[in-house]
Amino acid sequence: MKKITEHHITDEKYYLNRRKFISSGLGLTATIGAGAGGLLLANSSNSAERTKGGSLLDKVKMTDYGKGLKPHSFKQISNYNNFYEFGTGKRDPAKNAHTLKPKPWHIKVSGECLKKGNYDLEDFIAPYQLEQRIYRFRCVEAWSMIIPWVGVPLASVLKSFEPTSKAKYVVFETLLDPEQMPWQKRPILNWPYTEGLTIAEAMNPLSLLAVGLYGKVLPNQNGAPIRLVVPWKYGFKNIKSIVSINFSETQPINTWQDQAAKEYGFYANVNPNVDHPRWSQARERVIGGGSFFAPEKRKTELFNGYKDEVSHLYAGVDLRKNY
Amino acid sequence: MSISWQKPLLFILLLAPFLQLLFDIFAGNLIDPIEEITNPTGQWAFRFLLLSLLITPLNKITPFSIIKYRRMIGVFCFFYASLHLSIFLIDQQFSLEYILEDVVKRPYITIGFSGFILLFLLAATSTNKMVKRLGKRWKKLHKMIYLIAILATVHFYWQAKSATDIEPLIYAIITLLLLGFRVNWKKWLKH
Repeated sequence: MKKITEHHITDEKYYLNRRKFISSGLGLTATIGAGAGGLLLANSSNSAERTKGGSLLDKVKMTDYGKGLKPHSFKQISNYNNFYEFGTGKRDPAKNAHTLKPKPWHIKVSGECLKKGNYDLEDFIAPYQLEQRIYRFRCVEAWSMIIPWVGVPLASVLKSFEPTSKAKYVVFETLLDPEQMPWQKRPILNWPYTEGLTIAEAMNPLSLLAVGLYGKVLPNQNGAPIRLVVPWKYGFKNIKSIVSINFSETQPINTWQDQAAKEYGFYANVNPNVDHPRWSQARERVIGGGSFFAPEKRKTELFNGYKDEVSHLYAGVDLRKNY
Repeated sequence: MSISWQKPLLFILLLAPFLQLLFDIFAGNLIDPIEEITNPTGQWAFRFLLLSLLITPLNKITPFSIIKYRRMIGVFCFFYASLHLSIFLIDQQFSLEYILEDVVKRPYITIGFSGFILLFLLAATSTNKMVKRLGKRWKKLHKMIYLIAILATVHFYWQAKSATDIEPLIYAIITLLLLGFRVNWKKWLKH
C-alpha cells in the first residue's frame, strides 16, 4: 500500500483532461466504483472511435508506480503492438480491431474457487478503485515502451472469488469469436489465446487488470475491455480481451509455449541473462527514442526493473530452465 | 518497338518501395523505424531476387526477350539488401562487439550475413567491364545466386516468430519452384 499516494505529478502535455483524473481519495469506494463502472459502459459505440481510445475514465487514483518515467505517446502505444487476433503485423491491430465489441462483456470465473459464475464486466470492476500505474513494458522481441495503464489490482479481484487451497494457478482466456476477431479464422495460433500465472504471481501487488490507458477506456487493439498487465514479464504474458478466469490446480500451457516451447516458456520473466534462442535479451530498443541513426537502447533489467517487488517469488527457481 | 522508355520505367518501379520508405520516414509515419524498415527492405530484396530468377524461365517460355532487364533487378536486390543490413548495423549501434556476437551466435543472422557477402560479389561483378573480364567464369560465378536464394529462404524462415508466420513458407515454395526449373530433370531421372 505504501506505493499509493495522492500526487499530481502528471505532465500536462500527456493528458487531454487532467482534471478528470484527480480523485479526492476521500470518497467511498462504492461511489467511486459506481462512477468507474458507469464510464466503462460509456465506451463509444462508434467502431472507428473504439480504436482511437474511448471516453475518459472518471475518478482514477494516481499512484507512485512509474514516478519519474516518461510515458510513450498514446499514438505509439495504440498503433504499435501485437494482437494476433487482428493480424500478425504490429500495425494490424489498430487497423483491424474495430470489429471487436467490448460491450456488453462477460467474464466466466471457474475452477478452484467458491464464487464461480458469469460476471458482467461492470459488476466485476465496479467495487474497486481505478488506479493509474505507469509501468515499463518489455516485448520478448527486444523493444520497450512506458505505458500509463488504468486498472485495478488483480489480487483484489481474485480474492473476491474466494479461491480454495487447490488454486495453484490462474488461467486466463481471450474471447473466441472469429466474427469479432477475424484472424481467428486462420490457424496461426491455437485459439483462444491462453495465459497463466502462479497464484503467487497473480496475487503480487504489481499484477493489474487494466481497463484503460492514458485515463481513457482501453482502445480495442490494446485489449479492450479488460486485459492483464504483469510488467516484470514479457509482453505476451499480458493477455488481452479476457473472457475467462479459471483457478487451476495444474500449470496451463500458455499459447506461445504451445506454439514454440523452446522459445517461449510459462514464466517469461524479463531476464537479460537468458537469451531468446534467436536473439539477445541483454538490451532493448526504446521505441521512438534517440535518432534515426542512433536509436535509443537501454540495458534490459532483471524482472524489467521490478526485482524488489517480485524476486522473492522465484527464490530457488532456476530461471534459465524456467524461462 | 522502342525500348528507350522501358528501362527507366523499370528503374522507377524498382525504386518505388524505397521512395515509399523515404516518404514514411520524413512524414513521421514510422513508430519503430528499425523494425519498420528492416522487414520491408529484407522482403523487397528477396522479392527482387526471386524476380531476377523468374526472368530466365519467362524468357524461355514467352516470346518476349526480357533477359536485358535481369541485371537491373539483381542490382536492386543488392540495393535493398544493403539497406536491410544497414538498419541491422544501426540497431547494433555500429558496435563491432554486438555485431560479431549476433553474427556468430544467431544462425539466422550468420546465414543472412553470408548471403549478403556473396550478393556483394555478384553486384561488384555486374558491370559490363567485369562481365567481359571474367568471360566464362562470370556465368559460373553468377550461378551463386541459387545458393544465395537458398540462404535467403533459410534466413527468412529462421527469423520468423514461429510456424504461425506463413510468409517465409510461401517464399520457400516459390524459391524451390524457380530453382526446380533449372534442374535438368530428364538427366536426373535417368540416373
